[in-house]
Amino acid sequence: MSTDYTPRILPASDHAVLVRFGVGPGEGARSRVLQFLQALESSPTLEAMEETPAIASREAPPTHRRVWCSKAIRNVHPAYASVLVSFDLQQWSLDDARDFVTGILASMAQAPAPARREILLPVCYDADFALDLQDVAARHGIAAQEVIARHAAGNYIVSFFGFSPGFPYLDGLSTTLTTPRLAAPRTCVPAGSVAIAGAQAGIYPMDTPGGWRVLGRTPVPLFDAAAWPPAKLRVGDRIRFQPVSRHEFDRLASTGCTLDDSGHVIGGAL
Amino acid sequence: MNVLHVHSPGLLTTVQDCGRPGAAHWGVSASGAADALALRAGNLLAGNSANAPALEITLLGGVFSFERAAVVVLAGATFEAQIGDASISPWQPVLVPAGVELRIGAARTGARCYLCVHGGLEVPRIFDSASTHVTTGLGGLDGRALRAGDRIPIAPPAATVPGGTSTPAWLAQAYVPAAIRVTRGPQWDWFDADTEAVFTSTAYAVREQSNRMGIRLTGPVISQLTEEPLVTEGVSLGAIQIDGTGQPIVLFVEHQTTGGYPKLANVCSVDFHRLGQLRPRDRVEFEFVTFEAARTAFLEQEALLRQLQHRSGP
Repeated sequence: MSTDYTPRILPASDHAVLVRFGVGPGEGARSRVLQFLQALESSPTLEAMEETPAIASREAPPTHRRVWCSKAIRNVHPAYASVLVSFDLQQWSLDDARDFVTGILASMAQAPAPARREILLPVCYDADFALDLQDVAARHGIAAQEVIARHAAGNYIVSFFGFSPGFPYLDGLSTTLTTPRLAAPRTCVPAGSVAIAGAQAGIYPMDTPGGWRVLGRTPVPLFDAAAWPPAKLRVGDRIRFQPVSRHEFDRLASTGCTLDDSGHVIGGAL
Repeated sequence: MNVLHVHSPGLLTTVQDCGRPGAAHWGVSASGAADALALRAGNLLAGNSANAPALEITLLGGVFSFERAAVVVLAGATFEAQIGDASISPWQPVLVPAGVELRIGAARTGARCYLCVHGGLEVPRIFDSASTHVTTGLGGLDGRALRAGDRIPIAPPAATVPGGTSTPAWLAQAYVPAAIRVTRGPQWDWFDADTEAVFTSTAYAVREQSNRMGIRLTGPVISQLTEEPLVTEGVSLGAIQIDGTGQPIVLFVEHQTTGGYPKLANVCSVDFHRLGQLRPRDRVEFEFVTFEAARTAFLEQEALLRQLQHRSGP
Protein backbone atom coordinates (compact mmCIF):
# COMPACT_ATOMS: atom_id res chain seq x y z
CA MET A 1 0.00 0.00 0.00
CA SER A 2 1.22 3.46 -0.89
CA THR A 3 2.53 5.53 1.98
CA ASP A 4 2.45 8.75 0.00
CA TYR A 5 -0.02 10.93 1.87
CA THR A 6 0.58 14.07 -0.19
CA PRO A 7 -2.89 15.59 -0.38
CA ARG A 8 -4.41 15.87 -3.83
CA ILE A 9 -7.36 18.06 -4.73
CA LEU A 10 -9.53 17.20 -7.69
CA PRO A 11 -12.92 18.37 -8.91
CA ALA A 12 -15.68 15.87 -8.16
CA SER A 13 -18.44 17.90 -9.83
CA ASP A 14 -19.17 21.50 -10.73
CA HIS A 15 -19.93 22.15 -7.06
CA ALA A 16 -17.58 19.84 -5.11
CA VAL A 17 -13.89 19.11 -4.69
CA LEU A 18 -12.38 15.86 -3.44
CA VAL A 19 -9.32 15.99 -1.20
CA ARG A 20 -7.43 12.70 -1.14
CA PHE A 21 -4.85 11.59 1.41
CA GLY A 22 -3.22 8.55 -0.15
CA VAL A 23 -5.00 5.68 -1.84
CA GLY A 24 -6.28 3.41 0.87
CA PRO A 25 -7.76 3.11 4.34
CA GLY A 26 -5.47 2.94 7.36
CA GLU A 27 -4.21 4.95 10.28
CA GLY A 28 -2.06 7.34 8.21
CA ALA A 29 -4.96 8.42 6.01
CA ARG A 30 -7.44 8.53 8.88
CA SER A 31 -5.33 10.80 11.06
CA ARG A 32 -4.95 13.18 8.15
CA VAL A 33 -8.69 13.17 7.44
CA LEU A 34 -9.30 13.96 11.09
CA GLN A 35 -6.72 16.75 11.12
CA PHE A 36 -8.25 18.22 7.98
CA LEU A 37 -11.70 18.22 9.59
CA GLN A 38 -10.26 19.92 12.66
CA ALA A 39 -8.70 22.62 10.51
CA LEU A 40 -11.93 23.01 8.54
CA GLU A 41 -13.83 23.58 11.76
CA SER A 42 -11.38 25.79 13.62
CA SER A 43 -9.49 27.87 11.07
CA PRO A 44 -10.09 31.60 11.36
CA THR A 45 -12.55 32.56 8.65
CA LEU A 46 -10.64 33.13 5.47
CA GLU A 47 -13.17 35.58 4.07
CA ALA A 48 -14.83 38.76 5.31
CA MET A 49 -17.93 37.94 7.33
CA GLU A 50 -20.22 39.76 4.95
CA GLU A 51 -23.93 39.17 4.66
CA THR A 52 -24.70 36.39 2.23
CA PRO A 53 -26.43 38.01 -0.75
CA ALA A 54 -30.17 37.42 -0.96
CA ILE A 55 -29.86 34.26 -2.96
CA ALA A 56 -32.94 32.53 -4.25
CA SER A 57 -31.34 29.15 -3.64
CA ARG A 58 -30.76 28.36 -0.03
CA GLU A 59 -30.57 30.06 3.34
CA ALA A 60 -27.50 29.73 5.54
CA PRO A 61 -28.03 27.76 8.74
CA PRO A 62 -28.19 29.79 11.96
CA THR A 63 -24.74 30.95 13.07
CA HIS A 64 -24.68 28.95 16.29
CA ARG A 65 -25.04 25.77 14.31
CA ARG A 66 -22.52 26.40 11.57
CA VAL A 67 -19.85 23.76 11.77
CA TRP A 68 -17.37 24.76 9.08
CA CYS A 69 -15.37 27.95 8.92
CA SER A 70 -16.79 29.21 5.63
CA LYS A 71 -20.41 30.02 4.76
CA ALA A 72 -19.78 28.91 1.19
CA ILE A 73 -19.42 25.27 2.27
CA ARG A 74 -22.59 23.22 1.84
CA ASN A 75 -21.45 19.83 2.97
CA VAL A 76 -18.39 17.88 4.02
CA HIS A 77 -18.17 14.12 3.48
CA PRO A 78 -15.20 12.48 5.22
CA ALA A 79 -14.33 8.90 4.23
CA TYR A 80 -11.47 6.45 4.72
CA ALA A 81 -8.79 8.47 2.96
CA SER A 82 -10.55 11.50 1.55
CA VAL A 83 -12.87 14.40 2.24
CA LEU A 84 -15.42 15.70 -0.26
CA VAL A 85 -16.27 19.38 0.14
CA SER A 86 -19.35 20.64 -1.68
CA PHE A 87 -19.97 24.36 -1.92
CA ASP A 88 -22.41 27.02 -3.02
CA LEU A 89 -21.71 27.49 -6.72
CA GLN A 90 -23.16 31.01 -6.48
CA GLN A 91 -20.38 32.02 -4.06
CA TRP A 92 -17.43 29.96 -5.28
CA SER A 93 -16.01 28.66 -8.51
CA LEU A 94 -14.01 25.42 -8.46
CA ASP A 95 -10.86 27.53 -8.39
CA ASP A 96 -12.14 29.38 -5.31
CA ALA A 97 -12.86 26.04 -3.64
CA ARG A 98 -9.44 24.72 -4.57
CA ASP A 99 -7.76 27.85 -3.15
CA PHE A 100 -9.77 27.55 0.04
CA VAL A 101 -8.91 23.88 0.53
CA THR A 102 -5.24 24.61 -0.16
CA GLY A 103 -5.35 27.15 2.66
CA ILE A 104 -6.96 24.65 5.00
CA LEU A 105 -4.33 22.03 4.14
CA ALA A 106 -1.60 24.57 4.93
CA SER A 107 -3.18 25.27 8.30
CA MET A 108 -3.60 21.64 9.32
CA ALA A 109 -0.48 21.55 11.48
CA GLN A 110 -1.83 24.39 13.62
CA ALA A 111 -5.26 22.83 14.12
CA PRO A 112 -5.94 21.76 17.71
CA ALA A 113 -5.75 18.02 18.19
CA PRO A 114 -9.21 16.56 18.67
CA ALA A 115 -10.06 15.19 22.10
CA ARG A 116 -9.43 11.47 21.88
CA ARG A 117 -12.31 9.59 23.43
CA GLU A 118 -12.26 6.01 24.59
CA ILE A 119 -15.76 4.60 24.60
CA LEU A 120 -17.01 1.38 26.11
CA LEU A 121 -20.29 0.60 24.42
CA PRO A 122 -22.60 -1.99 25.97
CA VAL A 123 -23.74 -4.62 23.48
CA CYS A 124 -26.16 -7.45 24.12
CA TYR A 125 -25.64 -10.56 22.00
CA ASP A 126 -28.94 -12.14 23.08
CA ALA A 127 -30.58 -14.40 20.48
CA ASP A 128 -33.41 -11.88 19.99
CA PHE A 129 -30.87 -9.29 18.84
CA ALA A 130 -28.15 -11.43 17.25
CA LEU A 131 -30.07 -11.94 14.02
CA ASP A 132 -27.15 -13.30 11.98
CA LEU A 133 -24.88 -14.66 14.73
CA GLN A 134 -25.54 -18.34 14.06
CA ASP A 135 -25.13 -17.82 10.34
CA VAL A 136 -21.80 -15.99 10.77
CA ALA A 137 -20.58 -18.71 13.15
CA ALA A 138 -21.51 -21.42 10.65
CA ARG A 139 -19.77 -19.59 7.80
CA HIS A 140 -16.54 -19.48 9.75
CA GLY A 141 -16.89 -22.96 11.25
CA ILE A 142 -16.69 -21.67 14.82
CA ALA A 143 -19.05 -21.51 17.80
CA ALA A 144 -21.34 -18.50 18.22
CA GLN A 145 -19.57 -17.74 21.51
CA GLU A 146 -16.30 -17.50 19.61
CA VAL A 147 -17.80 -14.99 17.17
CA ILE A 148 -18.94 -12.89 20.12
CA ALA A 149 -15.54 -13.15 21.77
CA ARG A 150 -13.69 -12.04 18.63
CA HIS A 151 -16.13 -9.23 17.90
CA ALA A 152 -16.03 -7.94 21.50
CA ALA A 153 -12.23 -8.21 21.69
CA GLY A 154 -11.74 -5.70 18.91
CA ASN A 155 -10.32 -2.19 19.28
CA TYR A 156 -12.39 -0.14 16.87
CA ILE A 157 -12.02 3.41 15.56
CA VAL A 158 -14.78 5.48 13.99
CA SER A 159 -13.55 6.28 10.48
CA PHE A 160 -16.54 8.25 9.20
CA PHE A 161 -20.33 8.34 9.07
CA GLY A 162 -22.25 7.38 5.99
CA PHE A 163 -25.02 5.14 4.64
CA SER A 164 -27.62 6.65 7.01
CA PRO A 165 -27.70 9.34 9.70
CA GLY A 166 -25.17 8.61 12.44
CA PHE A 167 -24.11 5.22 11.00
CA PRO A 168 -20.43 4.81 11.97
CA TYR A 169 -18.00 2.88 9.80
CA LEU A 170 -15.65 1.21 12.29
CA ASP A 171 -12.12 0.07 11.54
CA GLY A 172 -10.74 -2.80 13.59
CA LEU A 173 -12.85 -5.88 12.91
CA SER A 174 -10.82 -9.06 13.30
CA THR A 175 -9.85 -10.34 9.85
CA THR A 176 -11.08 -13.76 10.99
CA LEU A 177 -14.63 -12.36 10.98
CA THR A 178 -14.63 -10.99 7.44
CA THR A 179 -18.09 -11.91 6.14
CA PRO A 180 -19.93 -10.83 2.98
CA ARG A 181 -23.13 -8.81 3.21
CA LEU A 182 -26.50 -10.53 3.09
CA ALA A 183 -27.45 -11.42 -0.49
CA ALA A 184 -30.77 -9.65 0.03
CA PRO A 185 -30.89 -6.75 2.51
CA ARG A 186 -33.48 -6.74 5.30
CA THR A 187 -36.26 -4.21 4.80
CA CYS A 188 -35.80 -3.16 8.42
CA VAL A 189 -32.75 -3.52 10.63
CA PRO A 190 -33.74 -2.51 14.18
CA ALA A 191 -32.13 0.60 15.60
CA GLY A 192 -29.08 -0.14 17.75
CA SER A 193 -28.12 -3.23 15.76
CA VAL A 194 -24.39 -3.90 15.82
CA ALA A 195 -23.32 -5.44 12.53
CA ILE A 196 -20.48 -6.49 10.24
CA ALA A 197 -19.98 -6.63 6.48
CA GLY A 198 -16.85 -7.41 4.52
CA ALA A 199 -13.97 -6.27 6.71
CA GLN A 200 -15.99 -3.54 8.38
CA ALA A 201 -18.03 -3.16 11.56
CA GLY A 202 -20.87 -0.72 12.06
CA ILE A 203 -23.92 0.16 14.11
CA TYR A 204 -27.39 1.03 12.77
CA PRO A 205 -28.60 4.06 14.76
CA MET A 206 -32.09 4.08 13.19
CA ASP A 207 -34.52 1.52 11.81
CA THR A 208 -33.49 1.36 8.16
CA PRO A 209 -33.18 -1.24 5.43
CA GLY A 210 -29.75 -2.84 5.49
CA GLY A 211 -27.62 -5.75 4.35
CA TRP A 212 -24.97 -6.04 7.06
CA ARG A 213 -24.86 -9.12 9.33
CA VAL A 214 -26.33 -8.31 12.74
CA LEU A 215 -24.53 -9.75 15.77
CA GLY A 216 -26.12 -7.86 18.67
CA ARG A 217 -27.69 -4.63 19.83
CA THR A 218 -26.67 -1.62 21.87
CA PRO A 219 -29.18 0.20 24.08
CA VAL A 220 -27.27 3.49 23.71
CA PRO A 221 -29.00 5.90 21.29
CA LEU A 222 -26.47 7.07 18.71
CA PHE A 223 -28.45 9.60 16.73
CA ASP A 224 -30.96 12.24 17.82
CA ALA A 225 -32.16 14.58 15.09
CA ALA A 226 -33.42 17.02 17.71
CA ALA A 227 -30.00 17.34 19.37
CA TRP A 228 -26.89 19.24 18.26
CA PRO A 229 -24.64 17.59 17.40
CA PRO A 230 -27.10 14.88 16.44
CA ALA A 231 -24.58 12.01 16.25
CA LYS A 232 -23.27 10.84 19.61
CA LEU A 233 -20.09 9.30 18.20
CA ARG A 234 -17.35 11.27 16.48
CA VAL A 235 -14.79 10.53 13.79
CA GLY A 236 -11.69 9.27 15.61
CA ASP A 237 -13.49 7.82 18.67
CA ARG A 238 -11.95 4.61 19.99
CA ILE A 239 -14.69 2.04 20.64
CA ARG A 240 -14.70 -1.24 22.54
CA PHE A 241 -17.79 -3.36 22.89
CA GLN A 242 -18.75 -4.53 26.36
CA PRO A 243 -20.99 -7.59 26.34
CA VAL A 244 -23.96 -7.14 28.67
CA SER A 245 -26.77 -9.46 29.68
CA ARG A 246 -30.30 -9.13 28.39
CA HIS A 247 -31.33 -7.99 31.85
CA GLU A 248 -28.73 -5.21 31.80
CA PHE A 249 -29.69 -4.25 28.26
CA ASP A 250 -33.35 -3.94 29.25
CA ARG A 251 -32.45 -1.90 32.32
CA LEU A 252 -30.29 0.52 30.33
CA ALA A 253 -32.86 0.80 27.54
CA SER A 254 -35.85 1.37 29.79
CA THR A 255 -34.20 3.89 32.10
CA GLY A 256 -32.79 5.89 29.20
CA CYS A 257 -29.02 5.70 28.92
CA THR A 258 -27.02 8.16 26.86
CA LEU A 259 -23.47 8.87 25.77
CA ASP A 260 -22.08 12.05 27.33
CA ASP A 261 -19.56 14.50 25.92
CA SER A 262 -16.54 12.64 27.25
CA GLY A 263 -17.78 9.35 25.79
CA HIS A 264 -19.10 7.76 28.95
CA VAL A 265 -22.33 5.83 28.93
CA ILE A 266 -24.53 7.32 31.60
CA GLY A 267 -27.19 4.88 32.67
CA GLY A 268 -30.63 6.15 33.47
CA ALA A 269 -31.84 6.46 37.05
CA LEU A 270 -32.35 3.11 38.78
CA MET B 1 -54.35 30.18 10.55
CA ASN B 2 -55.06 28.30 7.38
CA VAL B 3 -54.86 24.54 7.11
CA LEU B 4 -54.36 22.28 4.08
CA HIS B 5 -56.51 19.14 4.13
CA VAL B 6 -55.41 16.01 2.30
CA HIS B 7 -58.43 14.11 0.97
CA SER B 8 -56.37 11.77 -1.13
CA PRO B 9 -52.59 12.06 -1.22
CA GLY B 10 -51.59 10.93 -4.71
CA LEU B 11 -48.89 8.45 -5.64
CA LEU B 12 -46.00 9.94 -3.66
CA THR B 13 -46.55 13.35 -2.15
CA THR B 14 -44.09 14.71 0.41
CA VAL B 15 -43.27 18.02 2.05
CA GLN B 16 -40.09 19.42 0.53
CA ASP B 17 -37.99 22.54 0.57
CA CYS B 18 -34.44 22.99 -0.70
CA GLY B 19 -33.07 20.44 1.75
CA ARG B 20 -30.72 20.32 4.71
CA PRO B 21 -27.08 20.84 3.74
CA GLY B 22 -24.54 20.97 6.54
CA ALA B 23 -24.92 17.54 8.15
CA ALA B 24 -23.41 15.15 5.60
CA HIS B 25 -20.46 14.46 7.89
CA TRP B 26 -22.97 12.74 10.18
CA GLY B 27 -24.36 10.73 7.28
CA VAL B 28 -27.40 12.99 6.87
CA SER B 29 -28.27 13.40 3.23
CA ALA B 30 -29.28 16.90 2.10
CA SER B 31 -32.52 15.58 0.55
CA GLY B 32 -34.87 18.35 -0.66
CA ALA B 33 -36.96 18.84 -3.79
CA ALA B 34 -36.17 16.59 -6.74
CA ASP B 35 -36.70 19.62 -8.98
CA ALA B 36 -35.52 22.51 -6.87
CA LEU B 37 -35.73 24.93 -9.79
CA ALA B 38 -39.48 24.39 -10.02
CA LEU B 39 -39.90 24.58 -6.26
CA ARG B 40 -38.03 27.86 -6.03
CA ALA B 41 -39.67 29.44 -9.07
CA GLY B 42 -43.09 28.32 -7.87
CA ASN B 43 -42.47 29.77 -4.43
CA LEU B 44 -41.29 33.12 -5.80
CA LEU B 45 -44.33 33.28 -8.10
CA ALA B 46 -46.50 32.54 -5.06
CA GLY B 47 -44.96 35.38 -3.07
CA ASN B 48 -42.90 33.10 -0.80
CA SER B 49 -39.20 32.93 -0.16
CA ALA B 50 -37.64 30.47 -2.57
CA ASN B 51 -37.02 27.91 0.16
CA ALA B 52 -40.58 27.79 1.59
CA PRO B 53 -41.92 24.28 2.22
CA ALA B 54 -44.26 22.97 -0.48
CA LEU B 55 -45.75 19.65 -1.56
CA GLU B 56 -43.77 17.59 -4.04
CA ILE B 57 -46.26 15.65 -6.18
CA THR B 58 -45.05 12.66 -8.19
CA LEU B 59 -46.68 11.36 -11.40
CA LEU B 60 -50.20 11.28 -9.97
CA GLY B 61 -51.54 13.97 -7.68
CA GLY B 62 -54.26 14.01 -5.09
CA VAL B 63 -57.22 15.97 -3.81
CA PHE B 64 -56.72 18.84 -1.39
CA SER B 65 -58.68 21.68 0.13
CA PHE B 66 -58.03 24.63 2.42
CA GLU B 67 -59.97 25.86 5.42
CA ARG B 68 -59.57 29.44 4.24
CA ALA B 69 -59.01 30.85 0.78
CA ALA B 70 -55.44 30.25 -0.35
CA VAL B 71 -53.31 31.40 -3.24
CA VAL B 72 -51.29 28.59 -4.79
CA VAL B 73 -48.94 28.01 -7.69
CA LEU B 74 -48.40 24.63 -9.36
CA ALA B 75 -44.80 24.59 -10.53
CA GLY B 76 -42.89 22.05 -12.63
CA ALA B 77 -44.39 19.47 -14.98
CA THR B 78 -47.89 20.17 -16.33
CA PHE B 79 -50.41 18.03 -14.43
CA GLU B 80 -54.15 17.76 -15.02
CA ALA B 81 -55.42 20.14 -12.34
CA GLN B 82 -58.71 21.75 -11.37
CA ILE B 83 -60.12 24.02 -8.72
CA GLY B 84 -63.72 22.92 -8.52
CA ASP B 85 -64.64 22.58 -12.21
CA ALA B 86 -62.09 25.02 -13.55
CA SER B 87 -58.81 23.82 -15.07
CA ILE B 88 -55.69 25.56 -13.91
CA SER B 89 -52.31 26.04 -15.57
CA PRO B 90 -48.87 25.75 -14.07
CA TRP B 91 -46.68 28.67 -13.07
CA GLN B 92 -49.68 30.97 -12.32
CA PRO B 93 -50.87 32.13 -8.91
CA VAL B 94 -54.49 31.02 -8.53
CA LEU B 95 -57.00 31.42 -5.74
CA VAL B 96 -58.47 28.31 -4.13
CA PRO B 97 -61.66 29.36 -2.28
CA ALA B 98 -62.22 27.98 1.22
CA GLY B 99 -63.39 24.37 1.18
CA VAL B 100 -63.25 24.00 -2.62
CA GLU B 101 -61.40 20.92 -3.88
CA LEU B 102 -58.09 21.27 -5.66
CA ARG B 103 -57.74 18.09 -7.72
CA ILE B 104 -54.39 17.23 -9.21
CA GLY B 105 -54.42 14.32 -11.67
CA ALA B 106 -51.75 12.79 -13.84
CA ALA B 107 -48.66 14.45 -15.20
CA ARG B 108 -48.98 15.06 -18.94
CA THR B 109 -45.23 15.07 -19.48
CA GLY B 110 -42.48 15.05 -16.89
CA ALA B 111 -42.74 13.57 -13.40
CA ARG B 112 -43.15 16.12 -10.62
CA CYS B 113 -44.84 19.35 -9.72
CA TYR B 114 -44.83 21.46 -6.59
CA LEU B 115 -47.91 22.77 -4.86
CA CYS B 116 -46.58 26.07 -3.52
CA VAL B 117 -48.98 27.76 -1.11
CA HIS B 118 -48.70 31.48 -0.35
CA GLY B 119 -47.28 31.49 3.19
CA GLY B 120 -45.60 28.09 3.01
CA LEU B 121 -46.38 24.83 4.79
CA GLU B 122 -45.57 24.49 8.48
CA VAL B 123 -44.00 21.26 9.68
CA PRO B 124 -41.38 20.66 12.40
CA ARG B 125 -37.89 21.42 11.10
CA ILE B 126 -34.94 19.06 11.25
CA PHE B 127 -31.62 20.92 10.86
CA ASP B 128 -33.60 23.97 9.74
CA SER B 129 -35.29 22.19 6.87
CA ALA B 130 -38.81 20.92 6.29
CA SER B 131 -37.72 18.45 3.65
CA THR B 132 -38.67 14.78 3.91
CA HIS B 133 -35.99 12.10 3.56
CA VAL B 134 -38.32 9.24 2.78
CA THR B 135 -35.70 6.47 2.92
CA THR B 136 -34.76 7.13 6.56
CA GLY B 137 -38.06 8.63 7.67
CA LEU B 138 -36.57 12.00 8.58
CA GLY B 139 -38.29 15.36 8.38
CA GLY B 140 -41.37 16.64 6.56
CA LEU B 141 -44.64 15.37 7.96
CA ASP B 142 -43.54 12.54 10.30
CA GLY B 143 -40.87 11.48 7.82
CA ARG B 144 -43.33 9.98 5.36
CA ALA B 145 -45.46 10.47 2.29
CA LEU B 146 -48.84 12.13 2.85
CA ARG B 147 -51.94 10.08 3.66
CA ALA B 148 -55.64 10.78 3.40
CA GLY B 149 -56.73 12.70 6.46
CA ASP B 150 -53.45 14.58 6.94
CA ARG B 151 -53.73 18.25 7.85
CA ILE B 152 -50.87 20.70 7.42
CA PRO B 153 -50.92 24.27 8.79
CA ILE B 154 -50.06 27.10 6.42
CA ALA B 155 -47.91 29.94 7.75
CA PRO B 156 -49.32 33.45 7.50
CA PRO B 157 -47.90 35.05 4.34
CA ALA B 158 -45.16 37.62 4.85
CA ALA B 159 -45.48 39.41 1.49
CA THR B 160 -48.03 39.98 -1.23
CA VAL B 161 -48.31 37.72 -4.23
CA PRO B 162 -46.35 39.11 -7.16
CA GLY B 163 -48.23 40.53 -10.10
CA GLY B 164 -47.73 39.40 -13.67
CA THR B 165 -49.27 36.27 -15.14
CA SER B 166 -47.06 35.36 -18.07
CA THR B 167 -44.76 32.39 -17.62
CA PRO B 168 -41.19 33.57 -18.17
CA ALA B 169 -39.89 32.22 -21.47
CA TRP B 170 -36.65 30.99 -19.95
CA LEU B 171 -38.58 28.88 -17.44
CA ALA B 172 -40.60 27.15 -20.16
CA GLN B 173 -37.39 26.64 -22.14
CA ALA B 174 -35.65 25.03 -19.16
CA TYR B 175 -38.14 22.17 -19.40
CA VAL B 176 -37.95 21.55 -23.12
CA PRO B 177 -36.29 18.11 -23.41
CA ALA B 178 -32.58 18.39 -24.09
CA ALA B 179 -29.35 16.53 -23.43
CA ILE B 180 -28.30 16.72 -19.79
CA ARG B 181 -24.98 18.47 -19.29
CA VAL B 182 -22.33 16.62 -17.28
CA THR B 183 -18.71 17.14 -16.24
CA ARG B 184 -16.06 14.45 -15.89
CA GLY B 185 -16.20 12.40 -12.70
CA PRO B 186 -13.37 11.54 -10.26
CA GLN B 187 -12.89 8.07 -11.82
CA TRP B 188 -13.14 9.35 -15.39
CA ASP B 189 -9.81 7.69 -16.19
CA TRP B 190 -10.93 4.29 -14.91
CA PHE B 191 -12.81 3.76 -18.18
CA ASP B 192 -11.47 3.18 -21.65
CA ALA B 193 -11.08 5.74 -24.42
CA ASP B 194 -14.33 4.75 -26.14
CA THR B 195 -16.45 5.34 -23.08
CA GLU B 196 -17.03 9.05 -23.66
CA ALA B 197 -18.23 8.45 -27.22
CA VAL B 198 -20.53 5.64 -26.13
CA PHE B 199 -21.85 7.60 -23.16
CA THR B 200 -22.71 10.69 -25.22
CA SER B 201 -24.25 8.85 -28.14
CA THR B 202 -26.56 6.60 -26.14
CA ALA B 203 -30.19 7.40 -25.39
CA TYR B 204 -30.40 5.74 -21.97
CA ALA B 205 -33.68 4.31 -20.74
CA VAL B 206 -34.85 5.26 -17.25
CA ARG B 207 -35.68 2.15 -15.24
CA GLU B 208 -38.75 1.59 -13.02
CA GLN B 209 -36.52 1.17 -9.98
CA SER B 210 -35.57 4.85 -10.11
CA ASN B 211 -36.50 7.03 -7.14
CA ARG B 212 -35.34 9.97 -5.04
CA MET B 213 -32.17 8.10 -4.08
CA GLY B 214 -31.01 7.27 -7.56
CA ILE B 215 -32.02 7.19 -11.20
CA ARG B 216 -31.13 3.86 -12.76
CA LEU B 217 -30.38 3.80 -16.45
CA THR B 218 -30.12 1.01 -18.99
CA GLY B 219 -27.75 1.11 -21.93
CA PRO B 220 -24.63 -0.47 -23.41
CA VAL B 221 -22.36 -2.01 -20.80
CA ILE B 222 -19.57 0.32 -19.68
CA SER B 223 -16.42 -1.51 -18.63
CA GLN B 224 -13.76 -0.46 -16.18
CA LEU B 225 -10.12 -0.67 -17.23
CA THR B 226 -9.21 -2.18 -13.88
CA GLU B 227 -10.69 -4.73 -11.47
CA GLU B 228 -9.49 -2.61 -8.58
CA PRO B 229 -12.33 -1.73 -6.19
CA LEU B 230 -12.83 1.90 -5.24
CA VAL B 231 -12.12 2.85 -1.63
CA THR B 232 -15.36 4.37 -0.37
CA GLU B 233 -15.37 8.16 -0.71
CA GLY B 234 -17.82 11.03 -0.45
CA VAL B 235 -20.20 11.49 -3.37
CA SER B 236 -21.67 14.61 -4.91
CA LEU B 237 -25.31 15.09 -5.93
CA GLY B 238 -25.73 14.09 -9.57
CA ALA B 239 -22.77 11.70 -9.62
CA ILE B 240 -23.11 9.07 -12.35
CA GLN B 241 -21.84 5.80 -10.92
CA ILE B 242 -21.18 2.73 -13.01
CA ASP B 243 -22.38 -0.29 -11.06
CA GLY B 244 -21.18 -3.87 -11.02
CA THR B 245 -23.18 -4.67 -14.17
CA GLY B 246 -21.74 -1.73 -16.16
CA GLN B 247 -24.93 0.32 -15.96
CA PRO B 248 -25.16 3.96 -14.88
CA ILE B 249 -26.93 5.15 -11.72
CA VAL B 250 -27.36 8.89 -11.24
CA LEU B 251 -27.20 9.70 -7.53
CA PHE B 252 -30.16 11.82 -6.63
CA VAL B 253 -31.41 13.99 -3.76
CA GLU B 254 -31.70 11.24 -1.12
CA HIS B 255 -28.37 9.65 -2.06
CA GLN B 256 -26.11 8.29 0.64
CA THR B 257 -23.26 10.59 1.55
CA THR B 258 -20.51 8.09 0.68
CA GLY B 259 -20.23 5.42 -2.00
CA GLY B 260 -17.96 2.76 -3.42
CA TYR B 261 -18.77 2.66 -7.14
CA PRO B 262 -16.59 4.46 -9.68
CA LYS B 263 -18.00 7.74 -10.97
CA LEU B 264 -17.69 8.43 -14.68
CA ALA B 265 -19.37 11.82 -14.74
CA ASN B 266 -21.49 14.24 -12.70
CA VAL B 267 -24.62 16.06 -13.79
CA CYS B 268 -24.19 19.84 -13.87
CA SER B 269 -26.04 21.87 -11.23
CA VAL B 270 -27.85 23.85 -13.93
CA ASP B 271 -29.55 20.65 -15.16
CA PHE B 272 -30.51 19.04 -11.83
CA HIS B 273 -34.14 19.98 -12.51
CA ARG B 274 -34.12 17.73 -15.56
CA LEU B 275 -33.32 14.76 -13.32
CA GLY B 276 -36.37 15.53 -11.22
CA GLN B 277 -38.61 15.33 -14.27
CA LEU B 278 -37.46 11.92 -15.54
CA ARG B 279 -40.03 9.14 -15.48
CA PRO B 280 -39.61 5.40 -16.06
CA ARG B 281 -39.14 4.53 -19.75
CA ASP B 282 -38.04 8.06 -20.62
CA ARG B 283 -34.92 8.35 -22.74
CA VAL B 284 -32.09 10.58 -21.61
CA GLU B 285 -28.90 11.70 -23.34
CA PHE B 286 -25.82 13.37 -21.94
CA GLU B 287 -23.23 15.83 -23.16
CA PHE B 288 -19.92 16.75 -21.56
CA VAL B 289 -19.13 20.38 -20.82
CA THR B 290 -16.23 22.09 -19.08
CA PHE B 291 -16.44 23.09 -15.43
CA GLU B 292 -16.29 26.75 -16.47
CA ALA B 293 -19.20 26.39 -18.87
CA ALA B 294 -21.14 24.56 -16.18
CA ARG B 295 -20.75 27.41 -13.72
CA THR B 296 -21.53 30.08 -16.31
CA ALA B 297 -24.78 28.36 -17.25
CA PHE B 298 -25.68 27.94 -13.57
CA LEU B 299 -25.08 31.61 -12.78
CA GLU B 300 -27.22 32.66 -15.76
CA GLN B 301 -30.07 30.50 -14.53
CA GLU B 302 -29.76 31.85 -10.99
CA ALA B 303 -29.85 35.43 -12.29
CA LEU B 304 -33.07 34.70 -14.20
CA LEU B 305 -34.57 33.08 -11.12
CA ARG B 306 -33.72 36.14 -9.02
CA GLN B 307 -35.75 38.27 -11.42
CA LEU B 308 -38.88 36.42 -10.30
CA GLN B 309 -38.34 37.89 -6.85
CA HIS B 310 -38.74 41.37 -8.25
CA ARG B 311 -42.09 40.91 -9.92
CA SER B 312 -43.96 41.87 -6.75
CA GLY B 313 -47.16 43.78 -7.13
CA PRO B 314 -48.00 46.88 -5.07
